[in-house]
Amino acid sequence: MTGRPIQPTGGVWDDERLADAYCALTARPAPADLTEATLAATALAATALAARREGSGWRALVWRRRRGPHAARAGSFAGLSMVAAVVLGAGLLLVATNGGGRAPVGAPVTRSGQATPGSVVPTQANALAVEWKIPDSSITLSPPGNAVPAISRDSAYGLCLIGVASCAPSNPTAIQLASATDTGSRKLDPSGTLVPLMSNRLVWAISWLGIACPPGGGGPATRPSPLGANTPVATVQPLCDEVAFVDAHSGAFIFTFTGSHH
Amino acid sequence: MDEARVGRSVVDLARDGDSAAFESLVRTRMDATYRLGLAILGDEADAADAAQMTFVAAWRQLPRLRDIARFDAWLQRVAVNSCRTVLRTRSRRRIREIPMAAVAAKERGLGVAAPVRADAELLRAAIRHLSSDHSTILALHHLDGRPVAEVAEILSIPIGTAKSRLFKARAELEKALQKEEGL
Repeated sequence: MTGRPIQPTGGVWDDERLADAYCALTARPAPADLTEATLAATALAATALAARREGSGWRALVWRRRRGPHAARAGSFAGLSMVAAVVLGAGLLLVATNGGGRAPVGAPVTRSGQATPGSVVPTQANALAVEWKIPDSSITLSPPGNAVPAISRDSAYGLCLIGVASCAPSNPTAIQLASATDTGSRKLDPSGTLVPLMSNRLVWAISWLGIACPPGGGGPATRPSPLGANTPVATVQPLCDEVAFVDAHSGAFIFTFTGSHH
Repeated sequence: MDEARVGRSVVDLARDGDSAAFESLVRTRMDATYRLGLAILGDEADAADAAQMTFVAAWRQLPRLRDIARFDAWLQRVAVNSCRTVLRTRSRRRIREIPMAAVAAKERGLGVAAPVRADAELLRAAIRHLSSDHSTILALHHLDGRPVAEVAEILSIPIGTAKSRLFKARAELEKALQKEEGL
């Protein structure tokens, strides 16, 4: 340091002198505009997260690419036929790909008590029977009570088939009516207020459990080889759980959650 | 909405996504968070960056906070991590040294005795020579006189580790201070 006009207190740097110096160094409030700038940044972060979850972010692009054949069909005759078939429920059989057996702990269970993997999805509405807190998320699904959806389950799943909803390419493990609450995501309403994206919102929850993780879409982190980048390392294909949410009243796709398989 | 808020703490409401409650947390904790950043980083702009980063991260991670009674310790941990991130960024930037002591006395009428302000400028310069672990533990311990056990909790390290790290940090700081004093 140069040009020091005032001499330090001098002596030993004991606890008292150090504490005084720390107090003097930090004896000032935060800049006046920092709080407002931080609140704005927080709102932006929340909005970006909500936009991503609404399907307009990078993940939706990834999925559109992965699901190219479906999306390409959306405007074609074949696609329309498929939608019609879904809406009419004419002999639609959705065979899950995860094999039979019991659903894992915490997985959706239908009111009839049957685990859904490996079963043919019945055409009547299935409602979530017990609360399901989706691991590693802020999303909780509750039984919907006596709520009546305005759109059918098949119509909700139809959004997957025509590429409107962001869905895994395989058949779902379950499609269930639920009351959804997500404390971690919100969106800006027209008045500029942040409102929860899902707060006891009646949804169709379309779930895929134990599927291969989409690129960049979650799952456990992988470790590089300690022997160098060119050394092959045996890896285990990470598994993910996905849940797509469709508003059961409006039929609007809300977002898709992807996380590690539990 | 008001009925739902009755009897719930601001932290509890913010954890459930109440943006007004979170705004209240930002307003009441901003100065303390900024001061902690300043003590660790020794630079106003970096401290402001770290404070902002802290609250954006806190907004995202708050739903995962289980024990709301430990919110402040948790927030300080987030702040410490933000400071480390800023330090990593700073290490990639070119640093322009500005002699602060000359301007400090003119610009700041904060009721602090001039020799103490000079000490503060020495400390600021010395902090920049320390590792992030050392500058962090010194700031946490000496800024508000936190006991070692509390510092250990914020840093998620055993108390014994905190004590030994504090001892080494103090030795490193004294060397840096002596260098700054030209001794």
